[in-house]
Amino acid sequence: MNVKFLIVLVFSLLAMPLSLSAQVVVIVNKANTISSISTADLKNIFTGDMTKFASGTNITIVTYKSDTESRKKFYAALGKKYTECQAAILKRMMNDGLKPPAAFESDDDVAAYVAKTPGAIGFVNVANVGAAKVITVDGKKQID
Amino acid sequence: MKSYFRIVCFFFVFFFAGLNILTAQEESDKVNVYGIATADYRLYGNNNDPAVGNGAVSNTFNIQFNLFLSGNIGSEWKYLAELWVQNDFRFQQGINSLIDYSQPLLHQLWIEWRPSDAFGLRFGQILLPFASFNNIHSRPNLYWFIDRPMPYEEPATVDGIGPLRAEFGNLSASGTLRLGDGLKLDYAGYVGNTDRRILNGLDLSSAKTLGTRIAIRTENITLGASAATNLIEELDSVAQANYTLLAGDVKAEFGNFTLIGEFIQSLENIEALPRTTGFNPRNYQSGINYQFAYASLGYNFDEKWLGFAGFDYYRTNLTGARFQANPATRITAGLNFRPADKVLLKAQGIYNLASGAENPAYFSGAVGCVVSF
Repeated sequence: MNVKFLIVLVFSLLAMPLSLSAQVVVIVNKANTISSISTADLKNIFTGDMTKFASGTNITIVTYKSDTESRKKFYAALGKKYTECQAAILKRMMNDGLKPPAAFESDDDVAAYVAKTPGAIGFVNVANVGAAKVITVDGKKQID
Repeated sequence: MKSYFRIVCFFFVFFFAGLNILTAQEESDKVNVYGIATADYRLYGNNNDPAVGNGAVSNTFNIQFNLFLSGNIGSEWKYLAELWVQNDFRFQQGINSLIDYSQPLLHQLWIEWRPSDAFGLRFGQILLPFASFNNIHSRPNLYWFIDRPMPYEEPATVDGIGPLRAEFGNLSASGTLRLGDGLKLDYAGYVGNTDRRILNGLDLSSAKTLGTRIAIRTENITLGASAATNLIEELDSVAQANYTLLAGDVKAEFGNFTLIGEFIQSLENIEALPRTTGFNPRNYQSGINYQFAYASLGYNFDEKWLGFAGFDYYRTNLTGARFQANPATRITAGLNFRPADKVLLKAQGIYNLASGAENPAYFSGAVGCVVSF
């Protein structure tokens, strides 16, 4: 009985980091008044179609330099290819002067940048939110 | 006049940029600097360049550099400047080669007041939102071609296809309205004064380029309609051609497939240049209408590889003429490979269909590399 319990416990502990690594949340600066966002608006933001929050604050997109787990999970949840979103943003940058996205290597760096930048919006692993503020997407804390 | 205008624009941009830095407003950014560098090699089976000889094989090595500076000034103002430098190395037959060092071109320079995504006013030198390609011009990281559809490549402008390009404007109002359920409406209206209207540095007319584009977008489909008028081209010392352009464009994405295409109809009217005498309409062959279309289908094998195939076509139609000029039709196909997020390698083959007995079919090819930074 104890052996079975130990086996279950060990497997549960091993599985925990795996499930955490797959949980991505959307974060904004704590000064931002929004507490929720829709998937449709996220798509608009990460394709450069939406450049201001409802308050009028200019949006700064925050993303990753490389194909991290958070990036894969986020764009899969949006139902968009990363390259497709990048192409849309590049077009906006070159035609409409959209501010280039800030790109970082790690979740911690993304969270730290969002925490200090008023109009920033990014996505990180739930374990790396830091001093940023988590907002819900379609009423859920973690994106599917 | 043009130089004066550019100096004024420069003043505005640097005034606001300076203000931006000095006042350090809450939402002001640093100046954002980014751009693209590209190189491509093109082999033409045949061209009409008299320096090379009709029917001869020729090739060019092109390099292009676009540098962008942009920034927000407060929450409602922004600016953008784009510098474009392009050099073409043409390896001619024999040992004589030619290098064309182009002047750095101030491709865009504007300031914009945009209180919301739904409305903004832009002033300066503006790329016109006309059909789809005119708004991209030559940014090879935004399309899968190397050799773009005919009216958008510089050599094409000397072959009479130039009137199909709307080019630049000076003042525009534009925005995106969200109509709900993923449906969006893009609109733009603009007024400008094209380079064609300016003779020896003097603006000879009060006529302006007027235009608009309206597009309906869902997440996967974009349908656009555009119109522009008073695009002037001088024919000689007393006459000018006044063009009206009508266009439709489409972009559709289904799974891994992407379809792009546009159609442009140009309608010409010949009239006297202002303040000149001696104009006689009988001296001119009026009613030259240009038509242009392209369609291309791309397939994303994955995030790195894309294949495409399509055609482009243009013809001139002389109203009431007994003999019509031969249309030009090209079939193109190629591959894109993205080894890194900001690097794009391209290859393209073009088959130019025969156009009358004097223009036999021929093949062209190109390879290129684009780096974004």
